[in-house]
Amino acid sequence: MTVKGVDHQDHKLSKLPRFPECCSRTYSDSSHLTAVSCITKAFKESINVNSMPLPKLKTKLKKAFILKIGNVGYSCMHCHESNGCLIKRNNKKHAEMDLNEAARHLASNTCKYRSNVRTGNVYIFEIEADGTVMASAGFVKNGGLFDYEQFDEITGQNNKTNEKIKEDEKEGAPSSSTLLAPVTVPDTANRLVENAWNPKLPQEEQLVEGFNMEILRKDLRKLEGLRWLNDNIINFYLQLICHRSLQNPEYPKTFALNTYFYGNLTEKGYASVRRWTKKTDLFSYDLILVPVHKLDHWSLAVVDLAKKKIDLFDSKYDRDMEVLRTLKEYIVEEYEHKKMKQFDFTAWEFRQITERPRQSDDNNSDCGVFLCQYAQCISLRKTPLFSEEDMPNLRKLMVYQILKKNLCSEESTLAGALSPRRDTREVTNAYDEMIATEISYVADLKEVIIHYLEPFEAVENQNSLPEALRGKPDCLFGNIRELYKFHHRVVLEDLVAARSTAEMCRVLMQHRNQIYITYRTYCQIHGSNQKVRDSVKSHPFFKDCQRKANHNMDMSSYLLKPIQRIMKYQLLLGNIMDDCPADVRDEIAMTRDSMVELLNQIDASMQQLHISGYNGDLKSLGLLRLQTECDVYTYNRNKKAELSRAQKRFIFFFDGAVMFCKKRVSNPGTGLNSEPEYFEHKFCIPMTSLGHEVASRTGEGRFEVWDKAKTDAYVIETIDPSARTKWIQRLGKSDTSQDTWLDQK
Amino acid sequence: MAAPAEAEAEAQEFIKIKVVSQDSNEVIFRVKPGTSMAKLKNSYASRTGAAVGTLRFLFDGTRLKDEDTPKSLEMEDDDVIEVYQEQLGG
Repeated sequence: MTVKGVDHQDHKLSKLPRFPECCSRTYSDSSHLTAVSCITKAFKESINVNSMPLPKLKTKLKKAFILKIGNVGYSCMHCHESNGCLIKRNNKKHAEMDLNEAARHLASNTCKYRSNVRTGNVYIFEIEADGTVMASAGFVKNGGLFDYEQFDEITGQNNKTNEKIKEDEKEGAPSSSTLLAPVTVPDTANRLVENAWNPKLPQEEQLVEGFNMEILRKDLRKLEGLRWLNDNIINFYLQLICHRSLQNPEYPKTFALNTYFYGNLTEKGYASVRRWTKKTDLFSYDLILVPVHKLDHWSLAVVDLAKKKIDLFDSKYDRDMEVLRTLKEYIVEEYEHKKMKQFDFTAWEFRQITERPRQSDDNNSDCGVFLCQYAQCISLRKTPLFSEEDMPNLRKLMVYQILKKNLCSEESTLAGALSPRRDTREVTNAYDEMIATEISYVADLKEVIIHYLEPFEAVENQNSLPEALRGKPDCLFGNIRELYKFHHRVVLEDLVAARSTAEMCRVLMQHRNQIYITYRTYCQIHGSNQKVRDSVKSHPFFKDCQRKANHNMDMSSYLLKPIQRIMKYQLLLGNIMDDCPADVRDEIAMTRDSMVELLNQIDASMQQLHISGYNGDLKSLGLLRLQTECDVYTYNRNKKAELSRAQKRFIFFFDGAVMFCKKRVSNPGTGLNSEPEYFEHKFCIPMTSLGHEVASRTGEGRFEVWDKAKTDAYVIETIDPSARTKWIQRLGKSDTSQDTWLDQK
Repeated sequence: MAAPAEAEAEAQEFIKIKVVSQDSNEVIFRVKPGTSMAKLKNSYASRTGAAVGTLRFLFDGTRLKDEDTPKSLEMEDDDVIEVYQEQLGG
């Protein structure tokens, strides 16, 4: 059977059947439909629509649109936000949003169609005064500079544009979008779905069997329209994912627990699920998918044993640490039971994923589909990039996949389409993602400033602030204004102006120093003020801010964004690099390495803060380049004496000196401001008199440093063997770099 | 404690199996090693008044197939089959 892929936007779906939207999707809250009619009406009034040829702007748009209304301004066609106010019927004060504002709005939390921005599915339509309809070929792709093409070319529609808006725009009237290319749907696929959903056929009829389950017609009908998914569909689909991983050794080895697991674990404890894995060694897998059914809601937790993390993907809610905690405890018990050992959670991360496709607030139907599609993407190590708009199609696709008992309609081509090495489209997507996430990041920063920092600084609010914090915005917010200004005015603008991946890399490199300085400041403040933030988190003032801002997440989550962002650049570059042509790969690799190094530097500079007992000014030592835990042996160079016994030390490589410190843990209760861990300064070797030898006569894997002005030499054995290489490189460079550093001084 | 329907037949080797629902109600069955799970499921469903299609039977976390038997599942005396209701979520 041949099924032709038709969608060019969603690479993940290419080669899979694309179903035309057949069902109207009316969410329980119909207000947004009303609003659509309002804006349509409003713009009809404003531009004398009757004299203009217009596309049929229906209420069911598949992509995110910004609509330019004559010379008036721009508006988001989905939530009808213009300058933050909802457009109301008979209110002609509409759409004073400028283009950037509209773009930023789309990227902000307030826009319900935000996920589309991430995928780049943003189109801008302009309706000229003479009636020509112009459309951008995708907003993000062109970085905000719009190459307008004739509407016809974009949509593949021919003369339809000459049709006037029909007066049948009844509120909520179901209609499918005519703005999109007509899709050729494989008859067979469509027939299969129609048959599966036929209400007249026996509902108890078994349509598929597998994985010890029988899927009946009534199960598959749960995928219809806006119906809730049941355990059968979810368990079956997750098994399909595992099956695919089994068939394709290049995919992560994936295991799925069933939907009853989590409830048992929470209600009856580990003992109730101990025997569930009697035939399975969970720890031999890369990924364990854990569907979570809680209070009539589906979400997905993923234990990633390969990458050492537990992630929670919840399409609706933002705060549920219980799942992560419960699973962590489960892993401990399971490991203890199966391996008779303590599970080592060193370097593990436990995260509620905030950057993920999600349901709009009105949508109380699709969480099961989200669960399945998160799992589907993650099991390919792909970032989930679908959106709510894809739901009708994905629901049908899932019926088709379940009936076929195969996630791929054409195994080979699909596997090809999804494997990391592919055409350049992924590059474009990763490139788009860089810009889209940057836009949304800037918007997030703005949110903090508007909704927290400004009220915090406002004179009239001073009395409602926690007393200890009055007049000290830096304690909470650090230099977030500086970050915002820098990203808003510099980074974002330059990234948008970059026309290629290589150019984008150059932008990052060009601003690297500024990034380092700005983020170093922010990270230092962020780290040291964690306690402050925690202590005021539930203070009424901040609760009130959150309520007024209409944020789902609290202030801390927003203040964490810069930390997340600075870590993201290298990841995005890594994604881009995997897929790009060889000739630019080196440049991207260099930029990525530089970003990784930047993280190390920031990390190092944060540790550096807690060095005690150094008499000089730490800043005069220049940038911290390396820090390593190691064993240090001392001997006298003149006498070639015996080595001393090993001492655990942290050694720091600054531009100006190599410093030896001892790590200390402070006694609890010895002063309020003491860090739980700090470094006690032992001695320094100034760069000017540093001598080194990459090998040591005393053993392999060691190197030696000494102060030329003194007699003692130090044999160093790093705890992490890979750190040795870094030191050797650094020490090699130091001969030349110390000159430049001294010049700068 | 309910007497199993199929226990009345022969005085053969029987296995005692508990079927436990989510609200901790227990029904005890004595089954022959070769009895199909379909029979047990139907018997349980009619006893509790539920449609068999709405119930999910699991043994050690694995869904029971109709053709499974205590023997094929290597069940022993006092083993527990758990019964779950359909889960829905949106």
